[in-house]
Amino acid sequence: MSEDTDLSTSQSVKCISFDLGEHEFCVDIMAVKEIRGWTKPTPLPHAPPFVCGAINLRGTVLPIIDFAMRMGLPATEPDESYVTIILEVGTQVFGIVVDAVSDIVTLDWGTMQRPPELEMSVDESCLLGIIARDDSMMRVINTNVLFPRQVAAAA
Amino acid sequence: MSSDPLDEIRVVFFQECAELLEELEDGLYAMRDGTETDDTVNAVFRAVHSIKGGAGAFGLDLLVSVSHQFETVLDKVRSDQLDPTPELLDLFMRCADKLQDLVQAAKDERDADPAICDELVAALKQYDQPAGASAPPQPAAAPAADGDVAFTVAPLDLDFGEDDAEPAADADWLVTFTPHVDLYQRGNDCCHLVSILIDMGATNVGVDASQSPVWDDLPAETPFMVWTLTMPSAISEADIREVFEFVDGDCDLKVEQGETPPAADPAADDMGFVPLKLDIEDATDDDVDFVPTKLAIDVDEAPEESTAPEVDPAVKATAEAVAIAPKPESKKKSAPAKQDAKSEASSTIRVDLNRVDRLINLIGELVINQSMLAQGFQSLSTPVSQQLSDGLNDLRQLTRDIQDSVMAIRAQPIKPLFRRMSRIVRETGESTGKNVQLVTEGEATEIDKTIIERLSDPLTHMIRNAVDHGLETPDTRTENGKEELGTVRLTAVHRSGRVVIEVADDGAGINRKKVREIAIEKGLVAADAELTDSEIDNLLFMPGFSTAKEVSNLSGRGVGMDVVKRSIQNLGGRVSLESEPGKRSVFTISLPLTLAVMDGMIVRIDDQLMVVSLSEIIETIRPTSTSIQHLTPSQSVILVRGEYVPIIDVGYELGFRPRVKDTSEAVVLLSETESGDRSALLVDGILDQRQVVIKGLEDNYGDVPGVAAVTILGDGNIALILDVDGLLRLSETSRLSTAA
Amino acid sequence: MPLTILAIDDSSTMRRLVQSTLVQSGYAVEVAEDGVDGLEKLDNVRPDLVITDINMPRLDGFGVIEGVRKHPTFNKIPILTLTTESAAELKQRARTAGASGWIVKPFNKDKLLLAIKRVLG
Repeated sequence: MSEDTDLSTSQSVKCISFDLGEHEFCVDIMAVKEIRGWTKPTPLPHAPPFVCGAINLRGTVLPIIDFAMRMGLPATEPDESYVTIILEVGTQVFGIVVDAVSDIVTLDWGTMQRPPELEMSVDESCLLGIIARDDSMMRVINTNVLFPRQVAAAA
Repeated sequence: MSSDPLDEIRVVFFQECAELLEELEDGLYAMRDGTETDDTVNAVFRAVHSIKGGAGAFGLDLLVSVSHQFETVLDKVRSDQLDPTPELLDLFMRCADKLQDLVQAAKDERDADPAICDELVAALKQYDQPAGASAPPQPAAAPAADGDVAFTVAPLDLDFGEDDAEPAADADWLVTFTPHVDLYQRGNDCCHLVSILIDMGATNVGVDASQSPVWDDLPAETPFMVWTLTMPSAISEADIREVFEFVDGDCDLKVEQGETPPAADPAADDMGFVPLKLDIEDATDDDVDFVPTKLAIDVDEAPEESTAPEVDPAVKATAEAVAIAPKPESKKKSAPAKQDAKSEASSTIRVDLNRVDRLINLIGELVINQSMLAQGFQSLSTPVSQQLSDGLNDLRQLTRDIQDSVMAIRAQPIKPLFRRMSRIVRETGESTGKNVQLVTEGEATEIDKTIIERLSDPLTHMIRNAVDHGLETPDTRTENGKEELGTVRLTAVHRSGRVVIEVADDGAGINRKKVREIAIEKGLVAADAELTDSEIDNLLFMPGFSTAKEVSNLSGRGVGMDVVKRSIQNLGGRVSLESEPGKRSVFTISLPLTLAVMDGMIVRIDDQLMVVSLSEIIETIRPTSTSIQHLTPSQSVILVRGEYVPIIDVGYELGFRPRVKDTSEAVVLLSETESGDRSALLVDGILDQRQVVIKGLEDNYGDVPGVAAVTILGDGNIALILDVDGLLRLSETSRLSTAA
Repeated sequence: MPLTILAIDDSSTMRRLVQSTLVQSGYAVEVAEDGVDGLEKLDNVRPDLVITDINMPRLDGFGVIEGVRKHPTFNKIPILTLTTESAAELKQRARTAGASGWIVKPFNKDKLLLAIKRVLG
């Protein structure tokens, strides 16, 4: 699947932002199906470590990803205070567990830069790029690669 | 005409075509197998006939031309002028295939390739020739040419004289028309014909009632009127005669060119000659708008009620004689079975599949809800009353009954799928130059509609494979002392809550040496791997394996058996292969009856609830301290009636916990895999048996080894449905890796 | 009162086609899916005209004609046969059985209405 996001054009995109430790992340609001409280997922055997398991969302079974772990950070120990962002990417629906959702922001896609080479500790392959905002840096998640379909089969 | 009702009829037409094509195929098969009844050929004829009829209405010329020629030859078979030889039936089958293509093309609004049609029509025409003289067929294209096959005027039995000679330019036509009693017996009415002539421009209309007897003697049913009309010369004689087409033989009709039309004189005012002009003109006014109300023309009464003293006995006798039409009667009697089938069919309704699916989903939710409710009551601290617990039981039973009934709506016989395969066999046989027949068994086996649909691709692939790779060429077969005609056998049968489909060919079997070499060459197995015959055969299912040296354009297309296997697995099915070198290969597909629900046993493993399909469990065993034996740290067996069965520690294989050391609290589920091997699943406890709604993991996640699907439990949580075969494979892999 | 026509054909496409065409032209149209069904409906529908297909399961068009002609009330109503078989022999058989006329498929609206006009006015 090729990324159809053209980095060069100027385009306002609404995003949902959330914090993870000292890092700020955001995801295109168009990919967000809903945000719900955390429920304990059923573990899936032989899953990659960042897959917490699967939950039932009104009859649909979908996997839940520990976002921190996916980013290469220490695993989350979620409880009821955490939230799950349900994402819809193509035909695939899955959830990511994060501490909390902080804001809805409008970003100029045109100012997106490649992730800096030196940024440590975060798995850059999951980022579309970064956007400078005031004095902080917003990391834009590439939902396409966040949870590749073949992840389960490859495990 | 605001919205085109034709669009809606078009939908009806394609639905009907699907049914007719199926009937057609059924009939042809019955004829081939010699199981036809008296009505079979008729039904086949009717099917083609109805397709042609509808196709004509929609201007589908190719479809009309093929079905027309098809129908013509079928008519000869129907009337015993032609024997349905195997060759002819073969041609019929190909025509049926083609009709199917043409219908599909029309439905997709694609252009169909006329070349094959021409070829088939030509082939059919050959059968049409010998007896052709008695009833020459219409040229195939004729009915398609929007129109005028219709009223080719049948020769009238009156002598026309030189009726083909051009009428003299000026002279008007004098039409004299004397109805017979039969005209009224057949439901015709002079008055309507006269009014049509008036519309066409008749100038004078008169009735000569001079033949009519006196009023008192009027017999009720015999007309005595003679009608005379003058028609302008601009109208051709043929056009005038055409108006009387339906009453040809039921009247005396003269159409002459006269100098002075005798009826033109309306002055004749005596009893015998009634001028009618006024009355009929009133009627015509009505008629112009063509508002179909009954025309009350006074004159109408006259011929009907005017009568002769007595009815000519000869006429009466004829009338009675014609009333007896023996043929339909005998036909009706000869096909009682079909009659029943038809009356049954007429009590069906068509329902949009989406509605059924919505119902199924809702009932799935109901099942979950019902179990939530039951669970809720169980966890109450106070005991529930008898009434309440009875009610809950009833609810459970009802829910289940509803679910079964709804699932039955989706169940369909596998026959249409098998029929499609017979076509694949024919076509593959033709293009590979192999002489092959398809034998099917168990066509009535019912299975979920979705499974049937999604089985089409993998099955097509397997059938092509069987013909293309499985069967030898006719020469090779003869050399090896085999019958030249290869057989592919397709069977379906219900076995312990599943449907088992077999694709067997009597070909050369799997060339294991070659398969092994290729697998090694492609790095699929180690060069020194020790493989059983069955293991080698099943290498065919490995991704990236293809035995054909060059990719054949039939079974090739870069799709291997691994894709077949994958799509069957996605249906909750399994596929395996057995072969006997030089003799045959048998693919066995085992499928669930439905994709939506199954009877499951709820088991506990560690702190997780999981489900095992009841159909996979032979029995449950509480192991005693001595019945389980640990052969190695990684392998234990349980003694079941003298047989040692390997134990699969489910929790361990799924990676949820280390191996269970103390098995005294455990429960063992004895199960049998597709290949017939037994295995024993070790779980921590059994909680319940209930129907569960199957939810796929594939859509949002992917395959999980050892897990077939998941379900939603009463508390809204997800439970894994275990895949016994998958677990067995996992345990074999883990045993080997531990051993290594 | 619009005139009522009973259309008997085993092909659902044909039934719909005939019905749709005639309803647009102001007739009341009832349908039956074979001869038996058609004869059963006579008393209820009370048609002014019967249009019947010839080749049908259970009871064919000839049987329909015979049945109508024997009916105590409707034995005189016009009957048109609907057939793609334009063979003279079939028309003759239908006539002998008592049909008033015929319509050859494929028909268009004009053709259908013309035939009806000849027997119904």
